[in-house]
Amino acid sequence: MSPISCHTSRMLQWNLQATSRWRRRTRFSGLLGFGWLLGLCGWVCLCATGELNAQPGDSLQSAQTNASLDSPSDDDPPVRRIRIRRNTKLPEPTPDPSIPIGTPSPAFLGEAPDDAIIENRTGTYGGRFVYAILGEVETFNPVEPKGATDQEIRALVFSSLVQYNNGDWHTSPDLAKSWQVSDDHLTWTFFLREGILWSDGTPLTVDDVEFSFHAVFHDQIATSIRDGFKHPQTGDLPQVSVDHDQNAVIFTLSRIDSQFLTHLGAVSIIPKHLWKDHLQEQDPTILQQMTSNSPPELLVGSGPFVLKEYIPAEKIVYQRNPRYWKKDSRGQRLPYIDEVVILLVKDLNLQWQKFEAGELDIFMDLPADHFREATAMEKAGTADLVRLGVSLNTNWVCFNMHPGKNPETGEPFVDEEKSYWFHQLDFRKAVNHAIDRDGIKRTAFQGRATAIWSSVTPGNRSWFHRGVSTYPYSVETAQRYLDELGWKDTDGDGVREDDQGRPIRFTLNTNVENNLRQQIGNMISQDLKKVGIDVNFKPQIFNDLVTSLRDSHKWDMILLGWGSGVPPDPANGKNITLSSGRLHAWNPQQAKPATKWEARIDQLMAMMDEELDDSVRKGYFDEVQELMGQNIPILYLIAANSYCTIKKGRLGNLWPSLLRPQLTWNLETLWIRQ
Amino acid sequence: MLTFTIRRLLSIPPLILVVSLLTFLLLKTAPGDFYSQQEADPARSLTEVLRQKESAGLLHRLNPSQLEALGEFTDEGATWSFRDVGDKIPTILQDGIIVEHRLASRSLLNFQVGSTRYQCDDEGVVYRKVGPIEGFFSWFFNALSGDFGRSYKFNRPVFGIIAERLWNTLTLSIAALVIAYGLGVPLGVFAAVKPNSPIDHTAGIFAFIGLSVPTVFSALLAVLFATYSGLFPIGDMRSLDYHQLSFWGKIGDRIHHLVLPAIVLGTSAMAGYMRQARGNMIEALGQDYVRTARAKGVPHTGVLFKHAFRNAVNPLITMFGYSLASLLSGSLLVEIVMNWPGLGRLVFEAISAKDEPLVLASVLISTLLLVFGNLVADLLLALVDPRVRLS
Repeated sequence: MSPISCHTSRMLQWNLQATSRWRRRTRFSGLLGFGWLLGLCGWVCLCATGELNAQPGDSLQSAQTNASLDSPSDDDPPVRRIRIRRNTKLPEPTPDPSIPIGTPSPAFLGEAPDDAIIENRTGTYGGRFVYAILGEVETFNPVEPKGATDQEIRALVFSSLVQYNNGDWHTSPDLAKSWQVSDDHLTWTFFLREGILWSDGTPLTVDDVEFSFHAVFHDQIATSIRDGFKHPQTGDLPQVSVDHDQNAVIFTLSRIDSQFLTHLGAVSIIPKHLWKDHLQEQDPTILQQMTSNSPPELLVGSGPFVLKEYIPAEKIVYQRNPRYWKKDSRGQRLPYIDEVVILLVKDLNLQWQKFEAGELDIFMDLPADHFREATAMEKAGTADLVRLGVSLNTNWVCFNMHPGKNPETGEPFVDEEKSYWFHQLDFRKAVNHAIDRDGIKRTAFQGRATAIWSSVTPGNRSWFHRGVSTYPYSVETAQRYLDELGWKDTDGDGVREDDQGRPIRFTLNTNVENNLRQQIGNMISQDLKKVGIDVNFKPQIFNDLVTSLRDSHKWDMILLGWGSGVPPDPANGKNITLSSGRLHAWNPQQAKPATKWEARIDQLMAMMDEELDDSVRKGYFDEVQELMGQNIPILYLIAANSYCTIKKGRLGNLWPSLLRPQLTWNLETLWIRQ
Repeated sequence: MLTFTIRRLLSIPPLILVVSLLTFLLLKTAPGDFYSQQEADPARSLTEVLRQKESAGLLHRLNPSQLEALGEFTDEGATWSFRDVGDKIPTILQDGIIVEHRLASRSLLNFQVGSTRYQCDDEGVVYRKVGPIEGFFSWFFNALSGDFGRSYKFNRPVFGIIAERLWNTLTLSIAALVIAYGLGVPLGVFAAVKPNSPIDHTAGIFAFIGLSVPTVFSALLAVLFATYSGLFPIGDMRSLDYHQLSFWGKIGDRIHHLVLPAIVLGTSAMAGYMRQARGNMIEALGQDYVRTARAKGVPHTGVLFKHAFRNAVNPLITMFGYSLASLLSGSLLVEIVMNWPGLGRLVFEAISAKDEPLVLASVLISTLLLVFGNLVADLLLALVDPRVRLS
């Protein structure tokens, strides 16, 4: 066993057993017959109800069936055991000089520049890497990022000045070899690497960099990349200039911006010589370029791969960029992999079948209902299961505390009595105590999740804060809070009445597309019934939900989730935390902060923006989390554990990360073991 | 027959106008639009989302002089007006006092003057919402000049996107149709010749299974069968190394991938045709002319195919016309479960994401297919059955 695989074994906890696919096949043919078919039908029914159910009642049932079928895994027994996986850092791969070098095909062209980044890795050239994504390519154009998949796909072809390293959670140099910041933190000078070529052989210069930023800053181009660069009050954008003598690009900011490097990393550098005709002063046509039907050879970039072929709804094929500029520790040029194939598979079940049959090399974001099969594969020695820890994505519930009135009808958005209940801190505390997070974990997540109390889950090792108030499950505490409010069940129907005799009855919404959320919603409404709160659970279509959040404000309690961006910095969530934010769910887009603590949060977020020292920023955000925990406008519930699977021993130099794309973010240094 | 055809063809334009108007209005009535997803994304600002909507034609940007022309209006208890000061963005007055754009925009997120709705972004740029009727006619007049719009999602002309996948769906549906008719009609005739025989009952059982098992379920079973037997590929239309194969290898690869989805689709449709063919045949065989033919000594096959079958085939031809219309949409579920890169999947996602230009284009194509399918069926009927006269 080579040192690398030793290291992998530690990381992936592999487990060898002598069961293999052929044995399962013989079992299959032996049992072939009607009885087998019936059994299979039953099993498929289970899968189908788990996947396609439309009725809330069904979903709960199927979850319980699954839970009873699922023997407690060695990984997460469904017992109370506090296991906070903070700081689970997956180790960086180490070089091994004994690995053969191999021959790249297609071969490299020219020489790597002297300035090239040297990655501390070793690997063998060759091979084809296959994985699947759920999404569809919307466009190859890097100026406007569409969905997350588009952004991940784009990173294979384009480079930026700086790059975020998902492995050690730090921004590292990319096309820029170094940078200087002036004493007032307003002028940033980035020195470009010399001798880098575009994939068509033209030199990459500071003019290309300037051109790319002009495109993103162009006033008539609709792109959300620009947002981050804007001054929060005036909307001013940084000035970009170039210094040809020093081969540098200079940015002049109008304010101190702690997130400037992150924003820079989002801007892909595009070749000016090919795109310049499309950046007109009036009505620029740049966004109509490089859509999904453009010839692949026109997509010239400076990333590790170039597009070879794209067949809509079937696959995207990339091959090595023969002029890529990074090298490994033996001076060999990167990338190691000859060809990357991304299959476009719309159905998660089918994706899993393909992985099980060995057609895919990796499977990222393993859904809960395939976990059992994945552990079986791990035991059979056909796949490695990577336990990434607690995901950064949250599930939460929130009460509508909008004070406004509908301008057309003059009616308040939230009924008067509901508004009265929701504004009571003790009521929200009671609800928080009444929700059985452990039950949700056991039933909906089959034990593979962690209760959370803040927008930052324990998986986020940079920003997690232990000092946030928690509200552990206790029906007694919840009942005590409600009793103290004077809200008692006076007429004996099992539903409490408030101090003015109005029964506490409201609706909980979530989006119908998300099966897991439907299960959680059902459990919450049952939990709340136990303390005498009558919740009518009503899943809705996502678009309806967004409309009521944004325009009609006609909702009582809502169950939704936030995903996390990369990097997982809370500054990315300003739209949620700031009182003026569009997604400040409980009371959005306030003209002035409605409460003192919201005003304080606004102030802290502004201070965070202008502070460059991350430990100080952490202090500010800890206070934000504490304030949110004390006032619980949003009740954070639970975060799933995150898993990936990899075909056994298939890939070298893997450095899995919690951040998307978990396994492929460092594709240029991965190599295929034949 | 010619006048009949021409009359039918002339009825197409008004039909299309009505169908597209209804589709458009239905899409607009449901809440939200293509950009709702983006509005729920914390990483995007309202300014950018509104800009995207403007470039998609859902909003119309107002210049300062147009804004000044709006005059005074009330919103959230205050009186507002705009003043054109020659800048890109006008000054905003609240109760006669100049307010900062950022503050004003928070109150003016959505406002209404008369019956027109407006939206204001973080920087004080004001857009007018394009109403459904206005939106429809601007789309319609563009369509008359051959421009059917760009898909919001792909930012490309819609027919290019549809054309990419049209052929894939057609391959699958035609293969399924061949299976359905090729097996269903002979089996039905066979069962009718010997009604209540064991063959008839067996065929009947299979027909009811075919009718009652949903396609999603049989598609899932087919995928499982492919996984565990290894005999067939797991989904997809062709293999990864397709481009390296020889000409015949390519054809073989395609057929290999086509077998399972075509069987799944074909068998469920087959059952219907089989029952139909059986019923018609039994009825025809009981007619007087069949008895007469038998009595005058016409051979058995002659009675079956010359006399009975030609009379029994009419309803099947009508059904064929309708099946032409469902060529594009009938395979949706199989396409999703078995990862067939077809049109059904594309259109389904376009409808749920409210990618209006793409939906409209596909509805147009389906309408045309329906009309032509009916026309073809009628013409065929006239051809087959001399009793039918088209006028």
